[in-house]
Amino acid sequence: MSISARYSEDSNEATICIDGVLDFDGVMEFREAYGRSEWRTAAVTVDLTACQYLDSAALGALLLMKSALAKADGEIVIKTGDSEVSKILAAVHFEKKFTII
Amino acid sequence: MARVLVVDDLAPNRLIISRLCQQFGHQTIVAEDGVEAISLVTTQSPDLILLDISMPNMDGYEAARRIKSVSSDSYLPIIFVTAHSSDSSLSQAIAAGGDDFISVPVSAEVLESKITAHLRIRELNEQLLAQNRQLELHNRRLRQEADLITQFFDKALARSYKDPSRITCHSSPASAFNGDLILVEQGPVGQVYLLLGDFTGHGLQAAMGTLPVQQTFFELCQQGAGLSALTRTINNQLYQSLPDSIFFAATLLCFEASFRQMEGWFGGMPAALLVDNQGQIALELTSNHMPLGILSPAEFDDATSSHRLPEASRLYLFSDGAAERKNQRGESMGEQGLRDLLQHNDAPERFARLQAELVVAGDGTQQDDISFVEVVI
Repeated sequence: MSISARYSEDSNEATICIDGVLDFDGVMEFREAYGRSEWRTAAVTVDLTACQYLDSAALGALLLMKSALAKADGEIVIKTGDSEVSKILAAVHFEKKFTII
Repeated sequence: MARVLVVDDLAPNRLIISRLCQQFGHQTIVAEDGVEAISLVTTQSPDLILLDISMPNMDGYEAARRIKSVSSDSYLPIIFVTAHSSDSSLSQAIAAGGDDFISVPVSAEVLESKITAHLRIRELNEQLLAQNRQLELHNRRLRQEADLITQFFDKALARSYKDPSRITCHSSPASAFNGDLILVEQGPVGQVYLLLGDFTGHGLQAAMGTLPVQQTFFELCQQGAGLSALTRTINNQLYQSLPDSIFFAATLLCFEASFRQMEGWFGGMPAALLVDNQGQIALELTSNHMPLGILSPAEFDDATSSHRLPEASRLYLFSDGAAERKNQRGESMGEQGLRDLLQHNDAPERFARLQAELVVAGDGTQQDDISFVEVVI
């Protein structure tokens, strides 16, 4: 698993990219990735198109991210593409809290 | 200041080396041969030994071997004092359990440096040992606490209603604590409530939430609460008490006393599968809600669905640890694998097959808590 995060000052956009499997062991790294204060005002995208699996701890980390960045429902965009991950997010109905594309 | 044991059968040698050590600021004790040296090691606890090789009674090599065997866990440096200054002296000294050698006539400078170097190693070693002891103590305390807390959870779960002819459960935690929860209770008019849930993550943090849930569950079931009310109460309770990163995926079911009619609420668990008496999957009950503890009371949806269940069918519930469980070949079954397994085995063997496939006892590879339930209709 690898996590890359980038923030663009010009467009005030933040993107966090997860490659591989995000689970219990990777959650701390995920939390550190969005820890910068600029993210609170940025438009945040979580790119999971290269992510193969999320366990429940990872789902919890997404919810924590949302509340830590004080984002309203639907403000964080999760990009899944046509992956296994989209099924996982559908099973827990995360579309109620995030915009999933 | 350290305590140095000087072992030599010749009094003048003992005297010279002892004096030198005292000049370096150390305290000295002396022994005339190997036998005396060994007894002083146990009674006087020296920090370092300067050992002559050729002595009557017991020579230096034999004495070194015995001393090392009694002081096995702490590092007690032994420096041989030898008349031979060949390369083989060092290897011979090391082979005999010594740590270094110094040749006579002894140079004060070399002796002091060697003593200082070995005492430094000894001190590091002592620190390490003390830390290890501390860790060991800490570990033992943690284990005791874990045992106690496990009893807490086990006792709470022992309240579950048991009907072995209808309901068979399996739950194996990945660690000492189980974040999966299976609860069964009978209501006042013979209805049977079943909950299979899975807290985020695993270990103690996941197991914490199971205590309030089981309390609420048993209380409300005994009152004959409706499934919507039960689900809503648990959600609100968890919404208030759980940290933001933890939620409770759960399937809640309520069977009428005959078991032919079932009401269900499905929040974030793998699909429940109903296998009919022909071995076909007749019904697939997929999650249609968010897990419990995420939505506020105002957002929460407590709508349930009702299902007529065919006679002699069997219903199977799984936690996601079951679908993700890797078999001996390192492949996870996935939901499709579970489906195949259910369809390819006769009803009476299915549960045992699930156990055989999903539960590989003690192989240390289980990543998540694994639970599954079979209900005979």
